Amino acid sequence: MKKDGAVKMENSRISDREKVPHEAADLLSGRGWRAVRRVGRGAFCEVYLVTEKKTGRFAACKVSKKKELARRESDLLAAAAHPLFPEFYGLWEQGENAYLLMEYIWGGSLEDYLWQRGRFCAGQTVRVGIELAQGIRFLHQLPDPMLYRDLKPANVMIRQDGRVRLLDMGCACRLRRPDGSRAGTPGFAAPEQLREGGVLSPASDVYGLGKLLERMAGDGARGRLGQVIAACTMPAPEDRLPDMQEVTAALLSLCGDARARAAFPGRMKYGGHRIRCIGNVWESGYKNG
Amino acid sequence: MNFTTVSYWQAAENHSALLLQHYCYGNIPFCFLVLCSGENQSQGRAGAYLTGQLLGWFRRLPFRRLGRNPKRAVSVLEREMGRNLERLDKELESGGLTRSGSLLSASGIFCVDDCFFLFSRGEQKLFLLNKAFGRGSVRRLLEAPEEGTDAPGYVMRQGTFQQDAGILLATDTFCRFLEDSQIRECLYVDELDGEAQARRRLCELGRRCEAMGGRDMAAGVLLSRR
Repeated sequence: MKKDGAVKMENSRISDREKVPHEAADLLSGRGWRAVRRVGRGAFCEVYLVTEKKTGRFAACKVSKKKELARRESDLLAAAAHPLFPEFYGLWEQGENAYLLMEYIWGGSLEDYLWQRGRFCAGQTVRVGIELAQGIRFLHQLPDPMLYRDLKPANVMIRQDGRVRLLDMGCACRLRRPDGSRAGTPGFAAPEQLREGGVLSPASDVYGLGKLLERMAGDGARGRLGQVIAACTMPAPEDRLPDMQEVTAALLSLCGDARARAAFPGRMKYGGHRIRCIGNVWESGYKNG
Repeated sequence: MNFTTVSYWQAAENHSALLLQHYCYGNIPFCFLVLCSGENQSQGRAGAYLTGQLLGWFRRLPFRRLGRNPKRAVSVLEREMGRNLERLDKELESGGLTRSGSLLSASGIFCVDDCFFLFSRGEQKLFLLNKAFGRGSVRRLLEAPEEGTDAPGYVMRQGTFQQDAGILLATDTFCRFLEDSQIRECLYVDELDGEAQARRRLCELGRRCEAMGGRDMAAGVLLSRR
């Protein structure tokens, strides 16, 4: 870089882990989508950021080798028509792969934020908890109820406006027709989820939410918030808060506290100081979601 | 050093994108202003994507570590911003929102305490506002490069804010209808007492331009105060 600060950019390559394989790029191109880069990878799938050629709209495309799982996930995602979950755009299969298209959620994952900042204050924890509880309650109250079964920081996206979205319906199942699989993430999944022959209920998602809030609050999970978290994370399902309606009521009762009214990212506790958001403006005629 | 930050974005069909973030960690202010201008839907979407990605980048910054040494923070982040912008150019091109011959116009400024770096490409206008010699003055920064230059890249500068100086970043469509004297009179730093007044003055300039037929307009102002 020159002394006076002027600098010209030199070309460099996109990192290998973000490149899109030719096969996926060709197939997407044939369907009217252009692949931008890879944004995620799971055990059986990869997720790409794509853009529609005709309109420029952004979407996420999950390419999975397990077609049956992709079909099931697309059914569940289509049924989960709630602002908490990404919108389902379509599913198609070609060759060995299934391609699941859904809304792309802009923002950062809760896991990344926790890694950067350590923990959240009580107010933000409560606010995120209420949003998640209301969305999961929608799933539990469908005519054919669903369980989410995979509440964890990596699946929670914090949008630029501070609201949360839930990703990855891969572990979700119908409550009345459980698939018998032991799905979930150790440390966040309820004990009955990971146990052979365990009986699932909405209280299983209550446990997952409690563990997630515990992780968010860190050692700030004390007092009344700590009591709510403890009521959500009892080992036996019958000892927990029974459903998300009770969880929402319990979290709302904490909102009388002045700190709980702080909005993300208004005040975040970080290393003993507070980060104050004084100005937060993002304007464009073309924001997605 | 404290900052007053205000923005203006024309509330109509607008192909420009504006990002303004102003955080304070302890007593250290962090300000980030980015402006992308576009003439059509494709460029509008490209601007939205770029500003969205930069917003995510800003929110993930380690503010505590950066606030310890603002000068070093600005040097490090300027290099990182260069890499980010290059990567975003590649993504926009591979996503079909831009073409190699017509890259996105984008400019911005990032400040930690009184240290800052600017980056600019395209037709946005950057003005330095101050009250030198007891009179307000307006000076253009980072003049647009000559046509025909090879490898259109971002021009970057580092600097330090002086007391009661300010930066106005605006789309070309915003400045086209204004004389420097009008900007100087409206945004004279000494007279601007608080965020509300600064916002009113900036919106006043915007309404004036709208009345003269301006479209796709956006602007942001950073004013420093001790």
